[in-house]
Amino acid sequence: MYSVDLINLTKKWGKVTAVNDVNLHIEEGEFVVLLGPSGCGKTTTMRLVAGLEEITAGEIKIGDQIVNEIDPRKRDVSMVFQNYSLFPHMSVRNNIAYPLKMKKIPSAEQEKKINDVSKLVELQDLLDRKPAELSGGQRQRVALARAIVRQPRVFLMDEPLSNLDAILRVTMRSELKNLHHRLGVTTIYVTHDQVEAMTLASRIAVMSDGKLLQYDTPQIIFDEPSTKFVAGFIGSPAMNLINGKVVNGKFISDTINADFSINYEGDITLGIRPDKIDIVDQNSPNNGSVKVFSNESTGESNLITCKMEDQSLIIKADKNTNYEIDNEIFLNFKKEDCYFFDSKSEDRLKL
Amino acid sequence: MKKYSGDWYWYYVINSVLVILILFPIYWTFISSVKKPDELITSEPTFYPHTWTWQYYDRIWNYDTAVLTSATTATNNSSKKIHKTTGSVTQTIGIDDAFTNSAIVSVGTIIFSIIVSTFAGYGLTFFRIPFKEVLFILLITPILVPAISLIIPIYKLLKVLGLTDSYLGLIFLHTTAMLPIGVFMMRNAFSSIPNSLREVALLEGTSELKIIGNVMLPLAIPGLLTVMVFAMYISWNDYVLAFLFINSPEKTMLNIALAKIALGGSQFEMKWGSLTAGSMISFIPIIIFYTLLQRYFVRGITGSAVKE
Repeated sequence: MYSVDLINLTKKWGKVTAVNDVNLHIEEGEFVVLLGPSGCGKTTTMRLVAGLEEITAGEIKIGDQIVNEIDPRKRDVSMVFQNYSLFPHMSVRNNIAYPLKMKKIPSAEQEKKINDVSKLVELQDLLDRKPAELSGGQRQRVALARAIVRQPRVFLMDEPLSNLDAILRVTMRSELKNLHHRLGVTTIYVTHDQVEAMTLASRIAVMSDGKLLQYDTPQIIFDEPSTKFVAGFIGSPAMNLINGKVVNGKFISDTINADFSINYEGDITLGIRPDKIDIVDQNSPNNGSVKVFSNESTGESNLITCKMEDQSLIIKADKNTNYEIDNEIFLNFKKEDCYFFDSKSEDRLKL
Repeated sequence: MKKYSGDWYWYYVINSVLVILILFPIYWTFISSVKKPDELITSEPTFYPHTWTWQYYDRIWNYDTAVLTSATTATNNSSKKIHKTTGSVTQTIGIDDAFTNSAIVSVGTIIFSIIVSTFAGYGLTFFRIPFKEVLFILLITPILVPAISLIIPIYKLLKVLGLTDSYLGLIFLHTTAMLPIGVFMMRNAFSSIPNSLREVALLEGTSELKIIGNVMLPLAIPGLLTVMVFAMYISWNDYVLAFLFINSPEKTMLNIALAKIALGGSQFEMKWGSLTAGSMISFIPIIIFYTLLQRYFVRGITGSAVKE
């Protein structure tokens, strides 16, 4: 079991900084998810760990070894790609056997390992097929089997589930989690899907514009987002972020006017999760009135979208409620459910 | 599937015309090679041979022995007579040996072209090289330069390398002529392979050579076969380079031998029958090779336009 450390890791493509001074410590056997929108540098970070890109500045350590200068062939990591990257001209068996063949493992032992792994990912009956004859989920399992068959020091997974359909993604997610539990190999997983990140990770590293914004357990990231970006990225539907300002302890935006008696003056962003907004019958001190823009039922709840002057607001209301479009509703915010962010730096303000 | 449009027959009309235009010279060569001499040289050409003969094939395949005997007997009498009886360019070999010579050079060209095009195409596709695109364009630009315009520098170069009048020299020249298109095709073939396949192999500790051998070449076979067909075509059809750089009679290439044989009669006599029969023999390898590989050939060319 190996830990992975990224120390002041920086990668520049000409003038563009893809990864900007990232520090990350990954414990032995941990499942860390790099989460962020596309182009945030998460895949580049992973490729740096694999050695597929050259580091501009900083250090990467696998275990106690600094691997900056080590050839990707010798880093002993294996990677699962978004497009599976199976060798199309080889059977499933040969695909899985490929890492073993490259390590010149005796064929009897190869056979045993292939059998073990294919049982683990339920591919026993498909070993003689070609990748083209498999479904997406099966191909993904072959890619996984190939990655785990030789027990590398670190697993790298680059959006492995994003090419699968929604139902299969949920199944594979749980299989991945189970697999990681069994094997216990340190894993770095890249995704832009916050649900995947929340469910799989032991810790999530949220990235944006090449910077690491927050690195913590899924629950803490959800409960205590450190920046406005993290707050808006995690959770489905996303947290409402309302731009406004504080005057005399009151939060004022174009439609909302809430007296939180907070000790702050100036521009501020208020964040509140959709399920924490109460719909009330009449004007109360901490509220605003908004018009219903749309009303969507998900079966377990009603998602009500309201348009304010130039921002919108989503409220997760009880499934038994019924608010007609264009009706006016009154909202109530509790201060303890609200997050405040500096409008300029986007950092969280504890108020 | 798309239904035939009302104008579908135009497809056949136009293509039939093209096919006739292209095949007619070959047909003419063939019938000329099997016509009897009096039917061949006539003011009223026939469009099919009225009487068949295979005598030219027999004669041209066994040409060297005939010439050599007549040459030896001639030498016995007087050196002047050689000129008279056998013409000025008879110091050549029969086309069976010339055929072998051409085959050696063609196979050599195919092998060299595959090796060089594969490595160049691989590097230009997967390696991070500064100014890669410029390099690639520079590599394929020579396709626009006719070989004949570079004859003198090429001759100097071969002289320095000691490769004039050798198979290897000619193989190098043909490979060079082949390179632009070869590199272009191999690069196209490799470009259609996802980079991540190489990266997977890399992370499993595969050396670059093994990546090419185990992963890339099996997936680039159409491109590879196209390169082979082109190399064969360039090498087998070459006349100018073989004419200029091969001097020893026993190393004469097929095309040169054919020309020499055709002109090998008395002055102003063209041996049409021998020439056409020899030409038909020289078509055989190209026809076989192309027929076997034409599937890939077409795919290799169109594959460059449409990426899957």
